[in-house]
Amino acid sequence: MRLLKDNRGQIRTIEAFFAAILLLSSLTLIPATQNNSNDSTKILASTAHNVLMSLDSNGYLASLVSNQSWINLKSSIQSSLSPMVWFNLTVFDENMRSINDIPICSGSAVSDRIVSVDYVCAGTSSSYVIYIIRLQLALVD
Amino acid sequence: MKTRNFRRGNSGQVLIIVSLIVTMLLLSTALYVAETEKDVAVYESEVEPAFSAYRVGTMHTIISALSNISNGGSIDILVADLNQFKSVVDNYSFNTIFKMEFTPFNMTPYQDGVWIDWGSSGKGVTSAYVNFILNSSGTSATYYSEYAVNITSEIDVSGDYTLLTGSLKQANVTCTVLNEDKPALAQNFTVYYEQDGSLSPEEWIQVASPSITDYGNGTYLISFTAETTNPDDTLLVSVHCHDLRYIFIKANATCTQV
Repeated sequence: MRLLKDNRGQIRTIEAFFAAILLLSSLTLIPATQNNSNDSTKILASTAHNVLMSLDSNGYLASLVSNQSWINLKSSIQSSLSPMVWFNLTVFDENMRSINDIPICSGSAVSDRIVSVDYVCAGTSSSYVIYIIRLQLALVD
Repeated sequence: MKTRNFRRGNSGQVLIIVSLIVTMLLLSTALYVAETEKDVAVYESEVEPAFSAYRVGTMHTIISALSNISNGGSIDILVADLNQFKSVVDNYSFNTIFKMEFTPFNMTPYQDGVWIDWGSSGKGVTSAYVNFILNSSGTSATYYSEYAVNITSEIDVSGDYTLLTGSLKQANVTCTVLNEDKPALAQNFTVYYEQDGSLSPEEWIQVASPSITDYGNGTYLISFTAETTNPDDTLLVSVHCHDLRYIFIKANATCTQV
């Protein structure tokens, strides 16, 4: 009966519980923030792979590079990507020497998080040739 | 001096300490679970994006080699090209340790992964068959893939002719081009006919400008006038073709008189 009537510590107890809940809820926010950044990186990397693979599926990518049709290559990449995505494409030969003599990009980078994907592209012509195509993507802020 | 009554003022302190201990327990449990989850290997049937790219690459490599071989190149080109692709893939796999193994199919009718049959029964085949094993070990996942690539260009030729005046014959030859058993388009045709209808000796005459009708579904009708040595000579035709992948195929057929 005495304990039931004695309610002087109850406010402090409630405060302590509130503080604990606040601590726990703030912890749940930390991994959520990390996941968002990882997701955008994964999506950009996946987009880069998909764009290059769709162009390469019928040998079109290798033929554009073989003919040095850099303008057509830029247009093909540009039309495959959202306007909100910045890109920069570099074509290398087997010894990692850059082949494209003009920049194939959509302007200057606007984001500090750039995803880079290297793609090995084999030609289908009877004189066999392999290119390494580096596609860098970033989201426009 | 007034003394403070501790017994009356500290009834909530125990509860506060208990609540803090409970909170610490909850937090440590949550952290432990989170850390344990990170270490547990999770099986996911997800596809490594580079695998799909390498698969396309191996396919293109075989097409290139077959194009080379069917146009007069050595059969060794297939293994040489695949080794070249393998070395590039091995050298430039930055994120993972990548292993690619390939085995050219070596059972009849394939020899060292290649089968070329440009027969006289109206069917011509140019084909390559290679088995692959792709294996990649990364920091977060391991991927394994086993598959076979079969690139086959085929042409089916059949025809008939009507006798015109003397030894002149009006021939209609139907050709069907197939890639991997599916209708495919041809890049060009060259048509020949045997001068006396006998293969000993072979005296093939190239048709100068045959009329070619493209039905758009891999079927072509080739019409031309042939003049054999004698009116009774059978009409043997040979159709040479490059498909859109520049793989060469040819087939010989005997036309029937109608």
